[in-house]
Amino acid sequence: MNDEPDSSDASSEDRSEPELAAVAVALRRALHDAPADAEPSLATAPLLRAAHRARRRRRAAGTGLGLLLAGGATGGVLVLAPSPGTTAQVTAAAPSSSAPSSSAPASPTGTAGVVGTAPAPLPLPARTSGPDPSLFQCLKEFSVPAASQQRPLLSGWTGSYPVVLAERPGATVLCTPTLGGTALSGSGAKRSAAETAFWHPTTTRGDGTLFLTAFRVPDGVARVVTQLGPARQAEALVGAGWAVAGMPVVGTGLQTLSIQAYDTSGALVHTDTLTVPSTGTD
Amino acid sequence: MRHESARDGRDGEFADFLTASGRSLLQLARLLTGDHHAGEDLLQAALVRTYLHWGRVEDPHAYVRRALLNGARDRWRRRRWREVPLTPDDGPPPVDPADHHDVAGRQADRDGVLRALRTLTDKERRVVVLRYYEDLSESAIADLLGVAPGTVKSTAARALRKLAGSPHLLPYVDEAPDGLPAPTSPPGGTR
Repeated sequence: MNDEPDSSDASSEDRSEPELAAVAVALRRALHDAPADAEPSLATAPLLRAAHRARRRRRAAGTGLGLLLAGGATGGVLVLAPSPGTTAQVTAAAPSSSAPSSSAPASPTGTAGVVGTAPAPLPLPARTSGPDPSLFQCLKEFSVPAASQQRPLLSGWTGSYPVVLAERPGATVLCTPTLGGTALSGSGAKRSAAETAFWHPTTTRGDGTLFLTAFRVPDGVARVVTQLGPARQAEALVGAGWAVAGMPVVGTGLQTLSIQAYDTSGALVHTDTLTVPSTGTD
Repeated sequence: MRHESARDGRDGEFADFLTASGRSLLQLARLLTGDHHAGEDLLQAALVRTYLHWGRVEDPHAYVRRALLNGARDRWRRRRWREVPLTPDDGPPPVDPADHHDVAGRQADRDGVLRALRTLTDKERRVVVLRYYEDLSESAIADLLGVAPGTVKSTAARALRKLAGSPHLLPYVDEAPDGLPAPTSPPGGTR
């Protein structure tokens, strides 16, 4: 997609005004016939999506964001990351790969990969319809003063859940509403100044169905791997900037969310493995 | 607690606005981006910004629309850095036919609308969405986008010419007065 004139439709330059009017009628009907309630279900959503950033990020905190990875039948990892780029040249995260490579990128902007091998859908709730006002209640109560001009570090969706990551004096807060609208916050005291570049307050959603963690990748790229029991694994790559990763809390057995950060040379600079609480049933 | 009361009232207004307009705004965001998930993210960011300025917002719909347009433009500017799905995500997932009669077919039609929009440039898409979804006049669109009305008109015409060759609009032609002209170029979207 671009903003440049496209000459590919030169063959249709001879459309008459009535023809264009007919197209306009059909287009108007089509636009209004595509309601926003056709919500994707996590159970059938495209399982894994990931992103890469290939340029040095230009701002300290992410402003844009994108849902990188929609959980579902392939492990249910949910990753939300800001848009600023990274100097990392990520070449691949193939199904059997264990780490991003620092070798020459496959394209000028690099590539990224995500793999999942889960055998069965995870019991994630369907995406709620549209924006959830309770998220803003959470935003008000736990993070950004409404009267201020302070912007959240990150806001967007993790699969079915709207999420806001914001900072206030002394704490960084991760908000996501529960299905009942009760706000949930998780805050982690910052570590030393040297460690603030990569830290992860964790929280579990109020109804116990979602485990979330927030972190900031100072440079390079981070690889997020979720392991739900022995058979379900998914992974994603995120570029520099703030990111939120999450995974459903399901069943018994060891469930982990691990994050490995690599600098722009491909060297492993940080690793963390978080244990996800079990629901006790499977 | 006058302050608390005022804040609650403001939040109530915001919640009411979201309840009433959330879906149409979400649709607008999706059409502007030509992508389901990008549209959701775009709207979410616009609503956060709107909430923070709610006390000074006179026309909420217009404010969010402006925020969406700005966000969509910024998104385009950042396009080289935005997320690249690893698995095809050209539309919503299949719908369980047991739950909805013929929903899958309608879903496909709706997905086709986004596909058709993705064959346009961002500028063309913004113009046709504002013109034919938001029903704004050419002059209003010109004001919003900061271009001349003539540019809006020519851009819309160029977009319509492209869409005339799109098979994705065919499901919406049946009831059109004169029908949709046959494609003059091979169908198929570009992204």
